[in-house]
Amino acid sequence: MSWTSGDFYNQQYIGPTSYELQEQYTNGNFMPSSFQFNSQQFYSPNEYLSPTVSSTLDEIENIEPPLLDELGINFEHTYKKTKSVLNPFATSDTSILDDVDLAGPLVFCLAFAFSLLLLGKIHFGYVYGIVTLGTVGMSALLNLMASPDKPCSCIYTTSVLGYCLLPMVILSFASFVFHFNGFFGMIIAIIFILWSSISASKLFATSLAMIGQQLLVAYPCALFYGVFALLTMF
Amino acid sequence: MSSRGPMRLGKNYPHPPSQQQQPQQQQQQPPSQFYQPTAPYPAAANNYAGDFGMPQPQIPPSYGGDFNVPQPPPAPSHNAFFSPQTAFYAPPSQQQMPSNQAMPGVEYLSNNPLFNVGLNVVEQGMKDFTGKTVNMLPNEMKKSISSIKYYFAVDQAYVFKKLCLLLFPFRPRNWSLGYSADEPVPPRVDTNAPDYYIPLMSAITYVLVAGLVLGTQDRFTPEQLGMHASSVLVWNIIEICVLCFTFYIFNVQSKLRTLDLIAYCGYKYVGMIAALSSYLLTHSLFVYRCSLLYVSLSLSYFLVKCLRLQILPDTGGSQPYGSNGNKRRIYLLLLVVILQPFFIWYLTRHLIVD
Repeated sequence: MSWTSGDFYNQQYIGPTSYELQEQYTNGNFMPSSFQFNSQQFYSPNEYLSPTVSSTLDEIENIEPPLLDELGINFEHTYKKTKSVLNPFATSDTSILDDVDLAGPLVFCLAFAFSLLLLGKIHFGYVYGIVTLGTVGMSALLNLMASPDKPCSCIYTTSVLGYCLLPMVILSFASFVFHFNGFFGMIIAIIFILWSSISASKLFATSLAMIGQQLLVAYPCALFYGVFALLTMF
Repeated sequence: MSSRGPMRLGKNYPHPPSQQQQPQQQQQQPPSQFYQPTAPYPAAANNYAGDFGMPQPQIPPSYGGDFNVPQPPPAPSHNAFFSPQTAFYAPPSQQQMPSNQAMPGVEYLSNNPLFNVGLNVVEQGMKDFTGKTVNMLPNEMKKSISSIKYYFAVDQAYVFKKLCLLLFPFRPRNWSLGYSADEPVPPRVDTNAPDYYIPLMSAITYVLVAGLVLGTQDRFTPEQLGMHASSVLVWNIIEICVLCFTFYIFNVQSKLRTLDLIAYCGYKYVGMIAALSSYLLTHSLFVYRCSLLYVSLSLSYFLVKCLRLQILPDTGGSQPYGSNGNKRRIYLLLLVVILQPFFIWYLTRHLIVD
C-alpha cells in the first residue's frame, strides 16, 4: 500500500498533499501508513483526539467544503449567465456554461409561477409540466440533430432553457402592470419570445457546434417560450 | 467509477475494444481507491479539464466558424473531440468518438457514447457471470435510433425550401429522390427527401396556434393545450395504422418505408397552420374557406408528385404483379392524398366560430 498517488491526480490539487497527511497520522494511530501494531499506537483516545485538536482551523475547514460549493451555487457565474441572457447580442464567455446549475432556472421558474399568481392564475402544475416536457423534448431534439460526438444532457438543456426564461418572467410581471390584450399585446409578447429564443439558441449553437442550424434550434425554443406567453396572456 | 481518466474507445465498436477497456479500468481503479481518503475534497469540482491533463486527444479538434469565443485546445467544455462536419447521417456502430463528459448529472441515454460503453461492460459482466449472452439494448433499437437520426439531418436552407414547396408546389421541377450507394441521401443534401423536423415542429405549432385562436375567443385554458396535443398524436397514429393496413391488404410492394410515410403524413400541419393564421388575421369565414381549399390543393399536388415515383411502378421496371397492381397502387395513392385535406378540415373546424 502506498499513499503516493501519481502526478496525474496531483496536478490541480490545492489542499494538503498526501505526504503532509501521512506525517500527521504517523504519530497517531491511523493505520494505513504502517503496519506497526504497537499497543500504544493502536487506539489511545488521547492520541486520537490530538491530531484534530492540534490541527489548525484550516484543516478543519478543509474536511468539509463550504455550503455553497457543496450545493453547486456560484453567485458570480449565475450573475454572468443572467447578464449574457439579458443581452443576447453581446459576445460572452461560454466557458461559464461548463458548470450546469439548476438553482438559477429554479428561481426563474418559481418567479414566473408567482407572477401568474399576481394575475389570479394558479398554474404551478402547468408550469412544472411544461418545463419538464419541454426540456425532455428539447434535449431529445438536440441529440438527434447534433453530431453524435457532442451529446447533450437533459440537465444542460434544463439549465440553458431555465436561464433564458428570464425575459418571460419580465413579460409576466409587466403584464400585471400593463394589460397586454389585443394586437399590441401580441406584438410585445412576440418580441419577448424572440428575445428568449435568440439567447437560448445562441448558447445551444455555440456549445453544440451546430453550423447552419441556429434558426432551427431557435424555433423549438420559441415554441417552448410561446407556451409561457400563452399562459401569461390568456 | 469516477470520471477521472478517460476511456479510450477504439474505432470499431462494440465488442472488440471492450476487452481492452477492462484492463485499463482495473489499472486505474487502485490509484483512485487509495487517493480518495487523502483528498478532503476534489479540487475545483467544476474543473474537469484539469484532470485530463495527461492524455492527449487522439484527433485534434477542428473548429467550425460559428464561435464567438475562441477556445484553447483541447476544449474543456464538453468534449475534447468533435468535428462539425459530421452532423450527417452516421450509424453509431461505425462512429464512436470518445467523449469526456464534463457535465455531471443525467446524460441522455441513447446517444451518449459512454452509455454504450456501460452497456458493453454490463453485457460482458453478465456473460462472465452467467455464461449466457445478454443483450441489454437490442441492436434493432440502436439501428432504429440511427435511422431516425437520418430524418433530423436538416439545415436552414432545406427547411426554407421545403416550406416554400409545400405552399407552392406548382412550378415544374424534378421530384425524384437522390440516392448514393442504394441509401437515400439525407435531407440536408436533397430537397426531395422527407424529414421529421418540419412535421414535428408544425404539429407543435398547430397546438400553440389552436391555443392562440381559443384565447382570442376567450375559450382558453391550459388543459386545451394538452387536449389538442393528444388529439394530434392519436389522429396521427390512426392515420398511419390505416395506411399501413391498406398497404398490407393491397399487397403493394414499394420503396416507401413506414418512417417515410409518417413524414409525408406530417406535412399537413403546415397547411393547417396557414389556414388557421389566415382566419386569425382576418376573422372571416370566407378567407378561412378559401385558404383551406388552396392548402388542400397544394398539399395534394405535392403528395401526388412525391409519392407517385415511390408507389406507382416505373415504366421500364419489371413488375411481378402486372397491370392489376397498377390500379391498386393508384387507389392507394388516392387514399393517401384524400386523407390529408379531410384531416385538415376535421382538426380545424372546432376552432372556427361563426
